[in-house]
Amino acid sequence: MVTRPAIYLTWMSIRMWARDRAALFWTFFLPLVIMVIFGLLNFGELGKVDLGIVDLAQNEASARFIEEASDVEALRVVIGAEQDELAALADGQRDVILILPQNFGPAVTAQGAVWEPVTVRALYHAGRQAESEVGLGILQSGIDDLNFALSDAKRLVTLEGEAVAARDLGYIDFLMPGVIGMAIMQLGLFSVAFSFVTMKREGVLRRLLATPLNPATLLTAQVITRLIVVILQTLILAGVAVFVFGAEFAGNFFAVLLAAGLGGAVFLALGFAVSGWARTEQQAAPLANIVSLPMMFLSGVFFSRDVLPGILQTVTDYLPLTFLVEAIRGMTVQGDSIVAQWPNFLGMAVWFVIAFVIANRTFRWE
Amino acid sequence: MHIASNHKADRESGPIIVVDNLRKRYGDVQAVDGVSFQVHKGEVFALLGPNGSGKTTTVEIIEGMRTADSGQAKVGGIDVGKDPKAVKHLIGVQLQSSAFFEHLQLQEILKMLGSIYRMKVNPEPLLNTVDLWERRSASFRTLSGGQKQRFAIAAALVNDPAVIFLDEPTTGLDPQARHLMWETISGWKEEGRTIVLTTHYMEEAEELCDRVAVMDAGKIITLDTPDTLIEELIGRGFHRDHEVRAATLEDVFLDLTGRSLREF
Repeated sequence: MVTRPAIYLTWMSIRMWARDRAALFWTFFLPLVIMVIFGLLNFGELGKVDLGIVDLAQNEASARFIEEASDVEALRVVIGAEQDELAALADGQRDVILILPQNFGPAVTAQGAVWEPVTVRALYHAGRQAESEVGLGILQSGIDDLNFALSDAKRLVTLEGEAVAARDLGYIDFLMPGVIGMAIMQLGLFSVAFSFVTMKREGVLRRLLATPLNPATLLTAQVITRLIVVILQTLILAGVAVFVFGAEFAGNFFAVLLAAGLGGAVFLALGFAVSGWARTEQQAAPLANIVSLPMMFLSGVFFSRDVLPGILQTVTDYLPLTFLVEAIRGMTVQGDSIVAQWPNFLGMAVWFVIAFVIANRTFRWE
Repeated sequence: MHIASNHKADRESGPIIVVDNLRKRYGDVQAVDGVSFQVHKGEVFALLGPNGSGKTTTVEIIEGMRTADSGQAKVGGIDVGKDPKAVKHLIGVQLQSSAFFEHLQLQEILKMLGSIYRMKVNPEPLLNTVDLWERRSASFRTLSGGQKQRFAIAAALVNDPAVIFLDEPTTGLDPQARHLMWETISGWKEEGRTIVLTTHYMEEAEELCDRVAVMDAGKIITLDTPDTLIEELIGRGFHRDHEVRAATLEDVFLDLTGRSLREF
């Protein structure tokens, strides 16, 4: 029984992959290392707010205030002298400093201990808006509570916060879909761009042109091989994220693999477009980097696109890696279905068509 | 099965390759300028000519790797322009500079090429023909220049072709390997295969070929048997400046170093 060329070629190209140390490194090892490092660093967590308190009152009331502030989990409280704390704020070591004035606390009068109106100054770091706002918000509500307690007023309106999402989401939950998407992008772009440029330059493709091989058969074998690798890559990265770092995987497993496969197809087509244009590896490398590097940082792989300026956010909405990462993230974090994620799937499909048309026009055998 | 195959049956029963008025232009260069010739079954036929004379382009059009601007080439009665795939099934091709997939062993490459022709290939006799069976598990890249050349020849044989095209098959080979190559080509001729080759070595053409065509500037300027061409030249009063001796320096070299292959 003679095996069909497409199956045999696929089998052989899988063998080639398994023997290619460089490919294995870039495909499996590097993304895994990136995920482990960032996972351990817990890099994306919103840092605690560094609060410096200058206690000029040095009394029971100020001591209680400091104690309560120290109990707030989001605050990292340091007590220091005024000039030291101001210097620390200027250096960026503090986000907010709070100055408790000398008249903080009840004054002893004939009627007993009575609070006089007092102003607490808060100085905050203009460059660290997020931390400062969080810090000021916490302090404001603490001071409000204190006001209520002192004025004996009846609390008429109470805000009750209730966590609805039972899941405890951490940075790893954000990171995992990002790294999976990034790994798929790198695999699609670089493995195709390099191996086809090499095969073109060395004359491997020309030699195949002398056989009755249907070009589509060769391309199919190469694409299937890489899609298999994409699936393996996704399984390994998700496996490590979930079982080692306890990442959330809420959505349907196969829907995530489908998104990975579609994303793989998009980047493989882009890789073919690059390899069609480039004649040597020296041309392919910068082009593939020009395509991939901006996406690595602008498509929400390592940090949320919310921090980008408005226009950049709008532009990056339409990047292929954004569609891929957000589709996977929507599924793993929110448990979305494919239907719920249709805009991202549509985005990937459109990119696939665009890349396919470019690849079809630029691809050459020699 | 390759060695045993017999193409002798239909030997000398007419032309197996018919080339009629081929033209191919690259920009300002008329690479092939109205080339016509025929190759008979079981013949060893050479296209000779300086670099850039159009012989490789001509051969690649016949192989179905390039399309001609005009004219026709038929192999085994099949029009290459109309059905290149059917022609590619009939022929085996060794290109001037071939390369094969990385990360595959020589024997795997041959099996894979065989699968393209939907044939199950036994790599052993193929690699033995070119003395590379010892290196069956090596990858193409690790071969020396001469070994690569020989492997490309083995790869041209996977589909047991009736017509074999060899583009400068002995360029870069040492005298031992070249003589082995000549013996191999003669063996194919004995099996009834047709061989079309290009070469820059005239003694090679003289030794191997039934007929040769000389090309220059995209045209065939003469076509005949080597003997006839030499007699014609002598007939026109040509004399060599120095007398021909009974042996050449190559004979000396082979006498000193032996005829057996050096790299396996």
